[in-house]
Amino acid sequence: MDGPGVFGPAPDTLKIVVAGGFGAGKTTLVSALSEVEALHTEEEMTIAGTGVDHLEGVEGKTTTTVALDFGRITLDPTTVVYLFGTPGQRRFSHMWEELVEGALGAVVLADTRRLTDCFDVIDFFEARRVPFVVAVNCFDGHRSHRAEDVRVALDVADPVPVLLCDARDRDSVKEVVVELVELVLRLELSGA
Amino acid sequence: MIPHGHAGDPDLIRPYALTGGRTRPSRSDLTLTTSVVAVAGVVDEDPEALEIHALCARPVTVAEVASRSGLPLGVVRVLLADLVDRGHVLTRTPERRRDRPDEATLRAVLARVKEL
Repeated sequence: MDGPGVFGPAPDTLKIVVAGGFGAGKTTLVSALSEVEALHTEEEMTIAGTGVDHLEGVEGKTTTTVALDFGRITLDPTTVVYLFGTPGQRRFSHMWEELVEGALGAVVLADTRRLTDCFDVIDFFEARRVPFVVAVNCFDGHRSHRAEDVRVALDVADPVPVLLCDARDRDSVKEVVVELVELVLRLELSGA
Repeated sequence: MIPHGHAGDPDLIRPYALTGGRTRPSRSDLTLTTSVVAVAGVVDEDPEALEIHALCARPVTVAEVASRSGLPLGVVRVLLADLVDRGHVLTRTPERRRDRPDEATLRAVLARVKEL
């Protein structure tokens, strides 16, 4: 429902999902471009799944909270970009559905020590046809990994850009976002 | 509501006491990036709803309201939906349709990001 005209339309909001394992540098990446805010979401736990008995009487399930980081970048008065960080493992997939809804695309932030943390979310983005780039966070300072090796290890298709980045560095993170927007533009131009 | 003798962290359960136990909002149009804005006037609500109303004094997104209230997203959604239903808060939608932005928008975004 739209509000009355006096408030005018809301700015165009572009949403980018930043997915990666714990410690991959999602918060660092978002904070390189904007202030970071934390959002608490609930994750449902079933009693059967947790095997605890002190929650008896809570109708079979309760919730635990998971923090979701996000940042807002105002490009101009009519365009705002939101970056939402989310863990990349399957048990957080209930958040992914909502995060990819209407999203411009996604950044998979890969930690080469734990590439398997990215598998679930890459499968999800591929299945949902969400445009994504893989950014390999080289936060140890030296670029000891080759992007192509990571591409092979993650088994992502050729059109998916794989690039090295330093999540602490503003220019490096800008490059990642530029790479994603260029990918989306290519898809738009090719009618994909 | 906290069950008698509950031994765990009460924060696991307490938030939904604020919503009368409801975990689903009355409306589904409050996405993370939906923009909301308060309507000025007297609001006779619970303190948490009043706080949410105050956080919407200027247009903000649902994500920002949730973050700044410190309440879980699900709780904020239920309370915000109530405020919208009662006419205390309005939702605003961007002019663009919800799918991918067009070429001109993408090129503009690209140029702006490079300037950041």
